[in-house]
Amino acid sequence: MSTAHHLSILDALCRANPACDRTRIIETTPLLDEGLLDSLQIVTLIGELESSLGCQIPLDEVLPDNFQHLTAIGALVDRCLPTNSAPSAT
Amino acid sequence: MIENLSDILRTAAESHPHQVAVVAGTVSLTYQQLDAQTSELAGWLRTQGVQPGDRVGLCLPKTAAALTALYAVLKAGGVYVPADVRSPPARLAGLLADAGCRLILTTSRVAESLPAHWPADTARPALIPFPPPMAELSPGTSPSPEGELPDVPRSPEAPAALMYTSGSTGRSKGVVLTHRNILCFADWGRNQFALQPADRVASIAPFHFDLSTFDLFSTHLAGGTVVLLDEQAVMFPSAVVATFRKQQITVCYAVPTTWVQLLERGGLESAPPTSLRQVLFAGEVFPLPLLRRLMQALPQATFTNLYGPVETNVCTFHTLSGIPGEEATEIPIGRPLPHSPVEVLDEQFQRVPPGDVGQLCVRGPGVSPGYWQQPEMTERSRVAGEPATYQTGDLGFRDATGTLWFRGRRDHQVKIRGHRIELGEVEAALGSHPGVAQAVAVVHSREGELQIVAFVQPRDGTVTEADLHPHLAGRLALYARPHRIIVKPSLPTTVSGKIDRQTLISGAEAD
Repeated sequence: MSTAHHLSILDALCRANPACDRTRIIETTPLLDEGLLDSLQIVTLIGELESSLGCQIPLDEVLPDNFQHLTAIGALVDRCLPTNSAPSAT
Repeated sequence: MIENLSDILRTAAESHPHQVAVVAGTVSLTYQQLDAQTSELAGWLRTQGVQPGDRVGLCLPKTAAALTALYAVLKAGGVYVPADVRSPPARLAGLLADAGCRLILTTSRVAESLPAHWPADTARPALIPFPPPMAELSPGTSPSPEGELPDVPRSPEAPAALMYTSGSTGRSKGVVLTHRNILCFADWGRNQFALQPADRVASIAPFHFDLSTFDLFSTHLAGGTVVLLDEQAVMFPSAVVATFRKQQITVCYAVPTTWVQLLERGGLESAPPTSLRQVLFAGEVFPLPLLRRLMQALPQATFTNLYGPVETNVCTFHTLSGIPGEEATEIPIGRPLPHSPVEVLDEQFQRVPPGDVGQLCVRGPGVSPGYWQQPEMTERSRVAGEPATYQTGDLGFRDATGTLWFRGRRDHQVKIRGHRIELGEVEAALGSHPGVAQAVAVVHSREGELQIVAFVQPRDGTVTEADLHPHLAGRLALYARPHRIIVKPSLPTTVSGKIDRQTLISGAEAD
């Protein structure tokens, strides 16, 4: 995941849950286990990701494995970006 | 006749030994397997010093092993104290210390974090990472071949569980539930919804939520299969709907918020689980337009609204005869269960005439004997001091046909996703921050879900929302934490000088 990509997802997470302390969240922080996302915040996060990163996350991708940590969310976003505008992997 | 919750498992193991009792992820256990594992663990609990009447904390993820632990505590004659493994350690420690647990079965992570938060004036119980090493579960620790441990009290009046609920002063209170309390509801549920061995009941509520007593005990009374959905799975509605279809779920009891999420975010309408025959809900008011949509999506199912606080468990029910017409604005909470007479009383505990609003009060064998080590609070909850009675604090009326209708609360208690929350607990937690002069919590609706928004007046003008979220994270359960904390130099008051909650609610909606 690129740094810009990581920061965009972290921004979206903190908008979805204002209680997140962004200084303590790294790429592998277990977001669900640590209670950093509840069901409504997941919906808000999806809206934030779609509007800020231009992806479209289908319902059947809204599964626990895809929201475990920032890396998993990054992979989800990559899969759900329009193919002609996918960012580089750097 | 079954008079003890652990008898449910033993009886089912005798009558349906090879029937699947529980499914959790890729794990499934037959009644025979669950009964054997439970007996082994119950014997081991005895070797760890657990005696009849001892409280045992269960602070575990929702797995088949956690269910084994729950039945093992009951089989050893103990009282299970379920606690949310995701709660902050300070809250968990306070709750489990209040219960006076003999030992606590939990995860390694929680076992490591609890000691630092344990109250200094309370003896610390053994914290046992679960499951214990298999080597410790030697055959010598098993009970007799009949599956009974010696000297386990058989009285149905013995406590079986302590369920903690929000307290208005900031301290959670433990509701004592006896074997009889739980059994009379579980048996009613089994009969009312005609549960059979072929039924597959989805368990969405966590074990520390009283809805779980239906999922576990009504299902096992019938010899059916309970399918556990863990804490993470229930946050993802499409995963829940997929489980319903894959597991051929026939019965599910959940709060309306969960059903609405399955409808709006789970794709339930586009691929409905056609096996579902009983849809049960409780804990909050179901918005009628959404209930109509759910009923249209599941035309094969019967829908029932259940009502009752944890102190009485379910005490009224209403099965819908069809989709409510467009002219309907609400559905009733219905009629009392046969074992739980419900009366509508005025301030002097006199019955009010049909149509008049009063407090809903419950009596009968479903009523809890009281709050754990809180005799004064228990006494205050009684109707005119009578035992086995409970003032719910809920308002309602009885119509001319005898049907009961809900009319809100007498106080600042709210329900969010079925969790009972005293706004006073949220305010007390905020008020404990040195930078807070005054705090008020309100609820408002956003995207069809209730959320808590807190307003804070700072003591010296420097406290921020970012300071307060971590403070609350150490004190409040996840579901009780405000989604927003708004810091204001002063809080609005009414002409009588009280905090103007209505203005704050409008402010929350505009924010």
